[in-house]
Amino acid sequence: MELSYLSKGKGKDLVFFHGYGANKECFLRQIDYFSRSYKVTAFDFPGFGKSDALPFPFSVGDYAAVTETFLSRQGIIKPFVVAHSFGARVAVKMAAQKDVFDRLVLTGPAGIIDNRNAAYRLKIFKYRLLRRFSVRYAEAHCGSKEYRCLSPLMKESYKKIVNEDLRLAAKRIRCPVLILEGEKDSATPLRQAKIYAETIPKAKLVVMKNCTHFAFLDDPLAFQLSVEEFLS
Amino acid sequence: MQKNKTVVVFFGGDSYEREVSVITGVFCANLLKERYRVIPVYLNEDNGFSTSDRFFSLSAFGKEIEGKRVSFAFGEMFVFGKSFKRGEKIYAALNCCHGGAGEDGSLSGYCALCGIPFASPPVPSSAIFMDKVYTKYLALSLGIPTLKFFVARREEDIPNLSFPVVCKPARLGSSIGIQRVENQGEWEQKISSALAFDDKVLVEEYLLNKREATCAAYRKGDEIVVSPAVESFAGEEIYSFAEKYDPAQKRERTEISGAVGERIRDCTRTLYAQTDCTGLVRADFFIAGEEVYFNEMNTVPGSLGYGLFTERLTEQREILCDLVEQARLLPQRQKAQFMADILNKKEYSGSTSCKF
Repeated sequence: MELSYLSKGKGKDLVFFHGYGANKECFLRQIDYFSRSYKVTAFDFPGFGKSDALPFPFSVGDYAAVTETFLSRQGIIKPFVVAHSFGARVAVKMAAQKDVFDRLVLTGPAGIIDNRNAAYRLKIFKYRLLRRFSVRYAEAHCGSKEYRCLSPLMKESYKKIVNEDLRLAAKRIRCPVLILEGEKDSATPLRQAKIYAETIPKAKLVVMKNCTHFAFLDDPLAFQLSVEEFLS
Repeated sequence: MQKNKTVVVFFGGDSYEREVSVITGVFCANLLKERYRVIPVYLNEDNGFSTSDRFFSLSAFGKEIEGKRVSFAFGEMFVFGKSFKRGEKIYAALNCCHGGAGEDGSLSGYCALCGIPFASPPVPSSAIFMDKVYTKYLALSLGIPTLKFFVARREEDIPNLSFPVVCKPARLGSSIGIQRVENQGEWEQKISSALAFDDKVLVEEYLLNKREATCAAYRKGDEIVVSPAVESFAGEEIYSFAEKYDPAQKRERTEISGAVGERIRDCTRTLYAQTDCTGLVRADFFIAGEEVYFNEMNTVPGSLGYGLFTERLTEQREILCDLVEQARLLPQRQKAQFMADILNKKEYSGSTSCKF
């Protein structure tokens, strides 16, 4: 499987994992900055950006396996990793299986399921009910906006991804982890980042003021400072 | 963490470089934010000061800039609100104003008068280096190589230099109003447009095939730390304001090594030491072959010299913290106190007026 990537700078390896529906270019500012002191690699996950499409509905584990193959083929051993949102799921999964990262930065990390309340169950009930009458109507009107834009294959993959809770995996991470979380993050709220911070043994949580799910775009200076301080 | 120490970052002002100053100020305020309690203070165009929590973001500086009015005295900040509120003691102030009253020593003097420890260059060096003509006189007296020059105050003044020459308004920064005069025929028109910017114009010989370099220095404890000499805007043409600050034009950082680099660093050190400077400055040089010519000194350089010592933000933050701590080490008043005690003498005590 071919993954599209870009590589810049010299020195210790620093790899960026992008979020769901995004691509490697979302980190352009960080790539530009960190390439002055590190060898930065950013790639598109399968199904995103310019990388190949999925051959079958991938789970987080499949993404982790593909990423591991990609990194070893690039000759990247024990890199620093900055992972955003869905990328954090993959990073957590990889770090739990083997101690493959030197240090890990998670920003707006996904992978904690804590919102399966009555309202959520009602939504699922509504979807299943509608499906009985018309599958097409149900698919077009239910689910998140992110979900509705996907191709049928990606939808299957998406369901696998969002239904996997990574708390157990997080417990097994041995490398130092920095969690940078925007205080106004609505996609992966602060409480989920706090759960990660409590679960991962060597984790440090930094809450970024006035930032949303995309803290590295909202406040690049503070983001880059925190990451650089953590990596050096 | 020293969050109980309040550091004021000044920026803005009424100069042409106001916008660049906002960028420098917001950058420095954000860098220092994690170490100190930072108060970003904007110099309004109406000669007032204002502050707001939103001043940590560039988006607060659109058309309307809204903030609480403040003023300084007794080493403290006062906030004008519904009631006149006495603020907190200020640990130190950092100057990020480019050009105008912010850079010419006025702000340094204001802080000295208010008893605020100042992390940026003091009055004398700021005032001298603000004026390109005084800078020349200083360089000449210190034996620092500099290009031949002439001072034009009126349109009738004819330079005793060979063309082409460069006209620089004496007290403006950032290449504003600087133009090249190719021959005698162009002279009158160019000098009158330069005199529109300032009533004193520095006319300097134009160096062909030159390179440009910068070098920064600051005081840390008793030692003067000098950065490597870094090539700035290489090329033939004079760089205009837009080119200098357009990020797309940003070039790679190239250090100048060898004898030329060392000479640049020596000149920077001499200028800094001999003016008893404090704070961070950046000296600009021309290089032609092996020759080095001092051009000018910036007492409030863009982004406070970020990129000259280091490109790493964490290291730049350390430099800024060093500047703030250094401000506290400086003696705030003269060392020995001398009182003539004239007013308490017999013949004056008890008198109600000054009649003799």
